[in-house]
Amino acid sequence: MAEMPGDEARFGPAVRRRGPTEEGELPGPEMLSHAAERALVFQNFLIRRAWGVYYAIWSAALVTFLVFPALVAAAYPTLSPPGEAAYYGLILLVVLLSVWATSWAFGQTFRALRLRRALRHESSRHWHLYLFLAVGVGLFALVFLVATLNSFAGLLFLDACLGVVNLWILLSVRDAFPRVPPEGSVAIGTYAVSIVGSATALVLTGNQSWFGGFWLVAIVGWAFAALYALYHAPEEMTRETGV
Amino acid sequence: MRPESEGGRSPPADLKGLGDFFLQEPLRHSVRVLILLSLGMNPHLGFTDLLELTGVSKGSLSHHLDALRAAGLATTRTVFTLAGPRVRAEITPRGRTVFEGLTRSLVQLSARGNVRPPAEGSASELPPG
Repeated sequence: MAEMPGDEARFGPAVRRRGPTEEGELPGPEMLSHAAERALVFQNFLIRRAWGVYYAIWSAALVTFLVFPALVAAAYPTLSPPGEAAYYGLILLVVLLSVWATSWAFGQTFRALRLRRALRHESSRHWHLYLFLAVGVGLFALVFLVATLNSFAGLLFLDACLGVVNLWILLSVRDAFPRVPPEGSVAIGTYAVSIVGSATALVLTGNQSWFGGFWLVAIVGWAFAALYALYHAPEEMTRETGV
Repeated sequence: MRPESEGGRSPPADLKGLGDFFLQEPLRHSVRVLILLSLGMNPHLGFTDLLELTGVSKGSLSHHLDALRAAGLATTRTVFTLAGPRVRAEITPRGRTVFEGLTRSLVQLSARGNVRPPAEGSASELPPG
């Protein structure tokens, strides 16, 4: 086996133990399964990094959608045409970045699933993934549609849609990792607090400012989740694949 | 015509398919199979990522990438990033076909119980060496 000076010191004995694959290994089922196992260990690192970027971009997106408009309205009650173009340009840029981050994180997860399930001896659940993808895309479209209504009922409906999105994220995180990482629990937990808190506050007080206020919990939670995921992603190289 | 297994019986289709893959010279090396499997799961991978993945030296990795490129299974190109020029490897359509075939073989072998799921921390599952 090829020596890997440095890797064991950096990532612990598990890297030395679990791969890379055997240089002199004979081609065959054993060699293929060792290579697949090692590829999945590395994929877990890439997936965790992608989810870290996903949390970071969505945290910034929530700031742009919820906090930024209020700040702009307070500072500039009437925007000039160039200012308005810059404002909507920034929103559009953040939407595009969010869509890219979502497709990147979820795409990497889906591409690793077939190999992981082959090694786990699990049957394929691709239909369920495509269904979730379709539901997710539909819900995101609904969310943006409803957000423009800006009414009491519209905001409650928005919360309900975001609740389904959170369930979708939970299932995807469970598919993405052998065990849900701490940042996943933080992100999903704070998102749930924001949904329940904002809906409850809206019903009890009827004040829409509470709605936005509760989403600060998700913004902080997702920012923390992003930093934690990006910092701890290399640890995936030392973990078992769960296969 | 392919040789038949002992006893005059053809090997199962999954093992035969896998044998066909490993008859190709570039895939007779585990590091190249590893690179191909990872490229199949990602749109592209940087040279540094591949070094991390394989644990081999830069020269050795270049040699393996050259072999995959010569076989038409992968391509490499230099891209300019904010951090400077970087080498990026991508899977080709032919490489994608081989990746799909290897994954299919793994699924079939797994279904037949020919691929054992590694027990956590079990030394018997480790590659020798």
